[in-house]
Order: sequence, then structure tokens, then C-alpha cells
Amino acid sequence: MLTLRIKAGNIDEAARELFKRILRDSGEDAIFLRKKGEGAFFPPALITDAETAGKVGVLLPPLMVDNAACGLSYILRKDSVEQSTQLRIVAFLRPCEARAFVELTKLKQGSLNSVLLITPLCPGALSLEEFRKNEKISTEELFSLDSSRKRDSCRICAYPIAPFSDIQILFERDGLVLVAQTEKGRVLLLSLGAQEENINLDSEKAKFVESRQKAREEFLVQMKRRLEGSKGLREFLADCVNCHNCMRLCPVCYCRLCFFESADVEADVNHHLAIARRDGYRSLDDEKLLFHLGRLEHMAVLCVNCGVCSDACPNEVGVFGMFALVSDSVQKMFEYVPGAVLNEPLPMTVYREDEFRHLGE
Amino acid sequence: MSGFEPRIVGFLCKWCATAAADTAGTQRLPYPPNLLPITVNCTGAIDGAYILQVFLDGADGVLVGGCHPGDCHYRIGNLRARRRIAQLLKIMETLGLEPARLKLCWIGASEAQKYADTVNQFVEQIRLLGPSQFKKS
Repeated sequence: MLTLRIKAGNIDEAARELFKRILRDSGEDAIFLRKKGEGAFFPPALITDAETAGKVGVLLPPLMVDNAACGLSYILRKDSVEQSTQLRIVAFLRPCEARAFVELTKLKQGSLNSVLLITPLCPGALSLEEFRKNEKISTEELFSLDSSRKRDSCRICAYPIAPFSDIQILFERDGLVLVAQTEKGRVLLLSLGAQEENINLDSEKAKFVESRQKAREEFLVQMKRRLEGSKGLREFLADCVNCHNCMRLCPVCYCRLCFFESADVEADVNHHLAIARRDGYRSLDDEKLLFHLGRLEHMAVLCVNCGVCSDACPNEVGVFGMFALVSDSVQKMFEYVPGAVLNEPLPMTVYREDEFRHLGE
Repeated sequence: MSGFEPRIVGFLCKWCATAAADTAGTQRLPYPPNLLPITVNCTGAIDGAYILQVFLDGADGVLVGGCHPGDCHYRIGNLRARRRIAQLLKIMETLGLEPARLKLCWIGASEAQKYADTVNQFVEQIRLLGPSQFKKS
């Protein structure tokens, strides 16, 4: 495999060296990556200057409060991108962000023609609570972090390695190992002086996935128990204030106007009164139940399990747990892995004549 | 469950199930009055959110009636609907929300008897299940 090794004192320095070299030596127009923000967070940014990238770029921030696929899509979704085929952007995304971006590309809210995806083998990120306790944590420490300190979605991640990416990054004690996955990736790595090397990516993957698999199974069983029936669901969502933050930050919630914020779901006062008369009261809890169930119905099949919905919640409702459970069963039913294959259509845009024959008869 | 009368909402395709319901009426075929029909242009036009809303508003069951595969007025709307219903059933099953309360049925425009039988059976099925758990009392 075509491989490029970048050695420097530690992972962060090697990453900064990589950002610089891409902008200096490869002829790419820009890189899209996370940078140190004014506060504690790491907003995504488009950077064109090698020195700046070397100064502020961060490969693996210790936390994840947003999905950078949204930012990349925001930059690329205007039609002009398709026309300027010469544009070349190298995007550094976590696997869940890359998967979300592939889904957005299918939805014509992004384009991979002008983007080259580089994804790290992702150790995950700290839960927001842990991050607030200890903001200073080195990238190396992330790899040896106790899983209880990680976000739920990272702790049980099924794809710490992106199923689709142009270049994968593996980590060594003192640097990075970049492995080309596509022709596009090969061209970039060649321009940076990569060489053929024997690397067994599969064994690296297996090690990483295995450790999370058990935690995932346990988590899903636990969620299944908590979310049993409408009573379980109501209790689970008890603290939800229907603010829709989870939807706004969801990378695959692609509608520009959410159905649940449209006039379609607004009812006449008489409708509410009729329910109040029937049941003794009309609780607006049902509105949030409709929102969450509806979003599961619309989005679970595309959910990349990035967990941003949970971090977005002001009242610490574990929205992710609900999505993890439902997306797992729905995606298995359609044998669909979001973000894995670029030309695989979205499940709800296609049908097969010979499927679900038991329904309707 | 004595005294429990199920309230069922039927999303019926204009081209087949609605026609079958009309014919069942003119033929005076007996079937219970528990089903409130809503005519839609095609079952493919039904968003799962509409079905969820109906459940949350207190329906005990939802029947979706569409054209037999191959007979859709819009060619494949019913096959799209089948996929969506399959997904919604899977979600209801995963969350323990009684998928037996949602039924998809192919009813051709001339199948008045099948329409009456389907409504009969579904009402009985829901009667056995009792009131929807989404109802608070």
C-alpha cells in the first residue's frame, strides 16, 4: 500500500507538519480541518495558508460538540462547486463526520468531486462533562483513555475507521502513518513523497473495532430495556423541552425547513381542546414525542451515530441512545451502512418489488 | 375490555381502497363504524409522521389501504409506501410500541368484500389489544 510516514516529537506536531506540507507541496487549494477556537472548542475552518495551518490546525480535538460534515456541506452545497471542477480541498474529518458527509453528498448537499477525505483511526472524544473537568489532555492520552470518560457514541462506536475515505491515518508513538485508499489519495500521497509499504490495515481495524463491540452490545441492550413502550419513551424524554437543538446539529437531518417546525404539524385550537376534553388534559409532551419519533422515522436509517444530538441537548437527554438503538435495527433491516458506499442510494429513495412480501397481503 | 370501542384511522388510496369502501357501502356490506377513513392520493404520499401523529392523538389502530403491487396509479407509490411502513413497523417493534396496531393492506378498487373483511378483522384485532398505550388514562 502507498504509505507516508510523518515523524515528529508527537502526534500533534506530526499533524501540524502534515497540514503544512499538504498546503506547501501538493498543489491543493485548501484544507478543511478543526482549529483551536477562541474558547475551549475547536470549530471547523477552511485554511489556505501553510503557516497558519501549521499553527492552528488540530487533527484530533479531545471533544466533539458538532459534526464537521455540516460545515463542509455548508461551504460546498452551492451549485458553483460542481462547476469549478478545478477546486481541490483536503478535508480532515473523523470517521463519523466523513460518513455524514458521504450521506450529504448523496443528498446533493456536498460534493466529493472537489474534496479529498482524510480520516484518522479515531480514538473518540471525551464526554463534555469530562472535558470540562480537564481541558488539558494530550492527543496521545486519548488513545489510552478509560472508555468511561468518553462520549457514549465514541465508547460504543461501530466505525472508528471510516468505511469510505481517500486516505486513512494510523498513529505511531511519534507520528502518523498515512495510507492511500483511493486513486485520489494515492496522487496526493505521491506528491508528498510516499512509498509502497506492507501495512495490514485490517488487523489495525480489527483491534480497534473489537474493543468497542462488547460495549456497544451492552449499551443497546440497556437502551432497549429503558425505551420499552410509550411509558419508557415518555420517561426517557421527560426532560426534553422540545428545543430541536438535536435536530439542528444533526449532520444528516438535511431538510432546510424541518417538517416538525412547519405549519403541517400545527393544529387548530379546537383540536387541542378536543383532546383535553377527552383525556382531561392536553399535554404538550405529545408534541415532543411526535418530534422525536418522527425524526427517528425520517433519520434513523441515515444516522451515523456521531452522538452530537446528545451533546446538543441542554437538559442532558441521551438522544443518541435512542438513535443508536433504532438506527441499529433499521439499518440492519435495510442492510445499509450510512457513508460506506458513495453510489449506494438512500434506502427511502428506492424500493424492490420482491421485498417485504408479507406486508399488504 | 368491555365497552371499549377501538378508534381506527384508515389512510385509504383514492384509486383503490377508497373506491372499494364506496362499493362496500353501495352494496350494503356490513362492517363496523370504528374506522375513520382519510382519502390520500396514493399510499406513497403518506409520511410516517402522519401515522405517528394519529397514534399520538389517540387512535388505537391505523390501517393503510393501497393498490396491489403492480396496480399503482402512480406506478410504484405503493412499493415506496411498503418500504416506509416496513421501517415504521421496525421502529415500533424496537421501541415496544405495539406494531400490531399498524396494518398495511392491498385492496383493489373492485374488492368491496375484501375491504369489509379487512376492516372487520382489524377492528377485532385492535379490540383484543385494548386501548392504545399512548392514551394517558
